[in-house]
Amino acid sequence: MFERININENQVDKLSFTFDGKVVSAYQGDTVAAALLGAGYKCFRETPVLGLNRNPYCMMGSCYDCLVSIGGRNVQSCMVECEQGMVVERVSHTKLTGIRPHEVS
Amino acid sequence: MKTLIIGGGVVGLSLAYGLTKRNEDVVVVCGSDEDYNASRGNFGLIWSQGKGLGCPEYSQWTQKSISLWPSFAEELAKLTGIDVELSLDGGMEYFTNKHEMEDFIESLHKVKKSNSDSQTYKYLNHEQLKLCVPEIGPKVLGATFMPGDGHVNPLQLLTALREGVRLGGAKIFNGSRVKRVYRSGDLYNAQLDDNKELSASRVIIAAGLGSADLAPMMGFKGTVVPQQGQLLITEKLPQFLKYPSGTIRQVNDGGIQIGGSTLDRGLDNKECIKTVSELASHAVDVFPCLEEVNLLRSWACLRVMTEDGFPIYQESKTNPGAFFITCHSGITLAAIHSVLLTEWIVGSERSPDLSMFSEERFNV
Repeated sequence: MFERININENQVDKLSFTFDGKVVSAYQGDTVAAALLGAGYKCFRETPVLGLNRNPYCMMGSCYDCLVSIGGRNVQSCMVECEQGMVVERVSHTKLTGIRPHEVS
Repeated sequence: MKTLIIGGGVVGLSLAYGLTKRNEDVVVVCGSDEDYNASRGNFGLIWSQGKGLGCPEYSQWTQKSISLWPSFAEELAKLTGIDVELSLDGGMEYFTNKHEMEDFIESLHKVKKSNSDSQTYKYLNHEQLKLCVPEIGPKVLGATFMPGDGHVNPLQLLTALREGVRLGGAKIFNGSRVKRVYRSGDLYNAQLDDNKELSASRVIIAAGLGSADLAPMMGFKGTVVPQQGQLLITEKLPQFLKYPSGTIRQVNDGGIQIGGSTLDRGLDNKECIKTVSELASHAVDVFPCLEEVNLLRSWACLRVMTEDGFPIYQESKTNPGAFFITCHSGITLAAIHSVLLTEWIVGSERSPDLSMFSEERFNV
């Protein structure tokens, strides 16, 4: 879906991190959102109430659609730069808060 | 008869809505985005719990409005297609302080004694509460529960009322401040800040804190007191909070809204870190699961209070057809304002006795 433009493979530092346990490769300077989109992820998370699929929308820190969990906190992946060995997980509110959702009417 | 309503918040629009339903000719003047706009910053509770101490009529009026809310919401949805997200599953007040809890229970007891029609509150100790709200933390001593209380999406309500009023044929002037309101003969005139003049044979001043300047021009005392409240909202979570409380509720799309601070700051509507952190820490005491949850936004808004906290419904003695309407609980009372208060304004045979809410009670 997305591809990198005009980049000289020899001039960038590459790194890797994990998303949901799977290795994702990225370039130094990528945001987590850009790297995940580049790796072909089409659904970053599901909305907490209705369970609808969500992907980054604004890529500039405004829409909160690109949330992922890093270090146990939900963060906007478009606002975090990738680091080597970073552990990124899908947002899981149930895990985060111990909440047992009641049935939504 | 043409009615000019000064104030395009929930109070003014509830009356405008009631009047247009009676096929009255209505014009609403709505202030600007820079105004204090309590209708845009409030917590959205539909609430009787704790209200009416020292004024059983207020307790009855509140209760009656809550009973009208389901049909009011349904009617708005049918007319405008806007769902105001009404839920009336009952309301909790959580306590972490013994004295506060005892005082509050005593006041609920007194209100119930003075108005036997009011809903019967229940006290739940920590263990009983844990059975229906398992997420509470160890610091929660107990809660009081009021059946029938609940909440609504206040912004959807404002939008639905505006749309309903517009569909009812009323004209709404947006972004217009009324500089002056005066009488000439049988007509009431409002001069807008662009010097445009509007006139009508009936005028209702329902301008929230703006009424302090406008109501005296029509001979009212017009005392309205700002009381600052601060609010926070978290990131969206799965629905888990069935019962709203006076300080914590979960909105329809999942965010947890936290509020309930009361500060006397005059017209200052800026939030401060100290209050934000006190509110957040109370919420975490009640629901420890919120500790790791991100806060998205905080804001402050000014409540529109009267000197005794009860509504003022007053028709001018010297300027018949001129009304001053103000209250703190414009959301809770929106339903009854659109029905019975409207009957009172037009003086129909179904008009209720509202003499208790006259401004004259402040004349000693």
